[in-house]
Parts: sequence; C-alpha cells; structure tokens
Amino acid sequence: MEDKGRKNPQELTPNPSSVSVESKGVWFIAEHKAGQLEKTAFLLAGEGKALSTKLGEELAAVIIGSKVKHLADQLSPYGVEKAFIIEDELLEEYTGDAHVNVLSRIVKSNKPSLILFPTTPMGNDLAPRIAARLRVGMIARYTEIEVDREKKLTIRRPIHGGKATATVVTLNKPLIATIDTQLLTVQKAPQANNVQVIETGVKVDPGSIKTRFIDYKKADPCAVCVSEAEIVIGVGKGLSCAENLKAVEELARILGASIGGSRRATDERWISDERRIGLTGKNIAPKLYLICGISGAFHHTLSIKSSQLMVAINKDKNAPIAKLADMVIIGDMQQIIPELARQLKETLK
Amino acid sequence: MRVVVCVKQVPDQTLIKFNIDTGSLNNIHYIIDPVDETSVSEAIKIREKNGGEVIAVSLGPSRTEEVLRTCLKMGADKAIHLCDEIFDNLDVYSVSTVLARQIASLKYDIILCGRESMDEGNGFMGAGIAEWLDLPLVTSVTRLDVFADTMTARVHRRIKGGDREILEAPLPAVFAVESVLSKPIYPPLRTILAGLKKQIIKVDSQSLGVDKNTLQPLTSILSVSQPKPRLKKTATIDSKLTAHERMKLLMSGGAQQKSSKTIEKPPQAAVADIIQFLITHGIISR
Repeated sequence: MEDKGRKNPQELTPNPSSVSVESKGVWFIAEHKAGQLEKTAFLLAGEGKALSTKLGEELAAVIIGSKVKHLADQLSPYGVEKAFIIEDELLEEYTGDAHVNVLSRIVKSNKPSLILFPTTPMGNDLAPRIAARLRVGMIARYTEIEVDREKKLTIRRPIHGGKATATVVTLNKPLIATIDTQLLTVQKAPQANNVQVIETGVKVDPGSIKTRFIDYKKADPCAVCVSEAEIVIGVGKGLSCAENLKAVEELARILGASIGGSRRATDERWISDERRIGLTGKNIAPKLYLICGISGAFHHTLSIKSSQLMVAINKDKNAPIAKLADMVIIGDMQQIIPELARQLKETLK
Repeated sequence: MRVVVCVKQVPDQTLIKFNIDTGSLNNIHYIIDPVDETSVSEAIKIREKNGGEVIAVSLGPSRTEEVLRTCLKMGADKAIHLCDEIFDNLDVYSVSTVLARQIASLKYDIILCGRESMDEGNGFMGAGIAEWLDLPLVTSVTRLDVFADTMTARVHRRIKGGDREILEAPLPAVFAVESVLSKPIYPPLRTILAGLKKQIIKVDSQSLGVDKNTLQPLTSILSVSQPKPRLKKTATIDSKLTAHERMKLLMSGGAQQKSSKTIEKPPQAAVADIIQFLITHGIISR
C-alpha cells in the first residue's frame, strides 16, 4: 500500500549539499518535575536507544533545570550513554526563551544528528523554537523513523487528522522531532551502563527572556474540560435523576476528577453538552475513567478507548462495557458512589 | 492595536479521504482553518475594545482568496494575499520566512496564528515568525488580555491537566492560539456586505523582494500514503474462542488482551476492592 503513494512524489527533491556529515549522536530532552524524571523521559530514552542503535551513534539525554545533575543516574537502565546537564536558577521553571537560549548553544557546539522531544506542553513549545533558532527542519508528531543503509532517515507522520500518512525527509541536521509519548512503551536496554555526566556550564543570557511569568492557575478539577482531565467520571442512564449527581460531584471533588457523560446524560440535562463523551462529543484519554451506569454503546466507547484504566459500575453484568473495562463492579451506582466517596475520604486522610 | 492574523486554507478534515486506487487524497473541500477563524474573531474583539485594525495575511494559490474573503466578511480591515508561482509547494519553514517578510513591511502590535494547522499540523509557524522578527512568543494561548496603555498582554497558556500558566508579554508579540481562545463571531449583515466589496491586496515575490534561491526547503514530503492501522497490542489469538470470534479478531487487527476483573459483592466490599485496585495502579496513594 505504501508504495502506491510513492509513485507520485512531490516536486521538491532533497538537496544533498545541505546535509552536514559531521553531526553525530541521538539526543532526547528528559523532562522532570519536583526532583524526579517524568515518565516521558524514560519513554523517549527507549525510543532514542532503538534509533541510536540503528544509526550506530550514541544516545544522550539533555536535562535542563536548576538542580538536576543527580537525575542522570536514573537513566542508566535505558542505555543512555551521556547526559548533558544545563543548570541555571533561571531554568527552574520552563520558559521557552531561556530554554531555547541554552539548548541552541549546546546543540551548536556538540552537533547531534537527531533531537527527540515529547509532545507535552514543554516539547510542543520548545521543539519549533529550537528548529527556528537553528534553521533546521522540524517534524512534529512522527510515528515512525526508518533508517536506511546509508543511515538516511525517512520519517512518517499522520496528516489531515490521521486520514493520511506523509513520508517526510529533512534536508539538514540535526533533525528536530516530536513524538507522541502515548505511542511508546518503557523499554529497558539489555545492559545498563554508566551515564557519563557532562556539565555544560552554559548559563542563560538573562536578556533573552522576553516574557514574564506571573502565576500558575491550578485547574479546578470539576470544571476542567473532560478531554484535558487526568481522572474522569462518566455518568449515564444509571444516574436516573439529576438529584443523584450530588453524590457523583462529591466523589469528583475527592478524586480531583472531571465529570462527563453519555449522550443520555446530556439529553436529560443532568450535565452540560460540552461534557458529552462520545461520537457526538469529546474524546478522552485520562489516567482513570470511572464509568457509572453507562452500558457502553459503540458511540460512547469509541471515544474512551485511549483511557489508561477503566473501572465500570453497572447493574447489568452483560453490558458491553464489561468487556472493555479493566474492572467491573456489578451493582447499583446509587449505593456504590456514596460508599466509594466515604471510603476514599478515609483512605486519603 | 494593529493585529495581523495569519490564516491558512485547509482541506476539510472531516470530508477528506485517501483513495487507495489512485494513491492520492480525494474529496478535498477547502475551508478556512477553524483555529484561524478563532484568531480572526479574537482580533476583531481586540479591535472593538482598543481600536486599530485587523489585517489578514495568507499565502497560497489563487483559491486562497476564498479564505481571505471570509476574513473580510467577518470584519477584517485588510486582506493580503501572497500569491506567486514560486510560493507553490513551499515547506513550513519557507512559508514562515515569506510571511515574516510581509509582516515586517506592515505596522503591527499583535501577530496571531494557530498553534497547529488542521492539515499538516507542524506547529511551527508561530515560532518561525517570532524568530525571524525577533519578537516574544507565547504558544497554546487560551486567553488573551491586551493592555493598550502599558503595551503589554497578559496571556493564559495551556499546560498539563487543564492547568494554566499566566505570562506577561510586551507588545509587539506573536501568539500561537488554541481554538478555545474565542468563540466565533457572527458579523452583522452590514459587515458582511462591506466585506464583499473590499479589495484583496495581491503581493507577489517580486514586490516582496523574495528570490527563488532564498527559498530553500528544510523538509520535504516525499509521498502521501494510506494511514497505517494503529498498532495494537496483540496476543496470540485465544484458541478457546469460536472460529467465528477468531475470524472477527483477525479482521479487526487483533484484540487488546485485557485482564478484566468482574466483582459481584455487596457495596462495602466492592468499594474496598476498587480502592485497592486504584492504589495498585498508582492512581491514589494512602
């Protein structure tokens, strides 16, 4: 199938003269939070290792922050060979200006061939900035990188919202690429190795920071859009009347969850229309989806498949949702929800 | 406030289809990128509050006029169409350089563009323009408050889990916006009729001073193909299943093996199980 599309390549042909040969090394940006590496760092390490083995180049992590040197060791089971440490107090919080300032300088002096970013708010902001600063090509949300015998990279990425796949090449190095970390799984290298820590000593040029940080606004979990929330509670026909939503709301506050629902729940005006999950509503991908009194019609389940963990509460054990959920509780949500709220309160105390 | 909005004409994502027989995209209906419609709406709201003008800029072949006309009908004051043979099939990097060159020749306080276009979705344009014009940049903007007296903007930026980061940027600045920024405006008939009469300003490469040799692409699309079915975690198909179910699994590309647990207990005990389940999966901690 793939080859059929290749018969009509577009006019633009690669210009080999702009490919620099000396660039070596696969880098990835290791995100961290509160003195711990984020999971995306390990996911990218696994992806980076696979690519660096194919290319025969070494794998290096880039850790940017204020006190981050100690984080490098955590990457040793993943086959990371080097870790570039950029430490500066101005890098405590993520600011695009400061990060691009330091990162572009160490990229220029070390010349990697490929830099991977996660598709997190940080990666989505930093990757295009660094590509623009270095005047190099950027590929967003790639799904596959192919390495041929001459070590040339061919990249595939979805376009038109996944309706087609584009095969892309970049014409100079380093290649800046972002990958959806949800597509990856944590992969440890066969052998752990010592991570060589390289302290770059690069400091932020304070003049480069153009925007000023004012404040964080922590989201009210109940008010958050269902597609953004980490925990979602879905309600359906089993709610039976608007009155019963109070118990669900209390549970949502305890869990820090956003409330969504099936078409039935929005049609009955139990919840507002923008909280509808399903074919005519929103797609969700939370860490936990608690499904209360939704039988699991196709129109609903279509939009919930990316949820990491699904717990269903339903009276009917033959409901389609039972096949999909990781845990199914057979029972009445009217009794279970208040009980769950009560016990959770005790557990979390 | 003089607001420049970069708009793009894209094929409607809900209609477009990949035709396997011809190996090309079919059913292409061009529309204005929904996120750019948001930017234009926001720009008009800024103008209503602070005065000034709204200029829509777009690069593309002659059909791009349609989206610029849409912008004029929404109430934009001017529309600039960058149209030239050498502008065809440019990569996102080159487009950003051409747009930046055009914007540099205008007077501007705010530059708006979509964070990610609907068709290619590179998410590069904002960063490109900000870099070439050496301006502050904020991406994923969900709220924009402009203060004309201090020439600053206070912006909300989307970060993880619905949280927002609030930043202050001196103007002029570039904002790459999210589609939640602004609700689309419904212009009165008078504005629509006035929009129909306005001239679209055509700019070609010569008047912009862009040479074909300066437009070196950095990325190139070799081909467009059918999307691959998404990889699923497939286990060997369970031999306990009936032939009919096994066929169904094979045709759907395999099944994700789930170790589903069904619990039928009185509420109190069932809830204790849920909590234990949530703890083992790291959702909550004691």
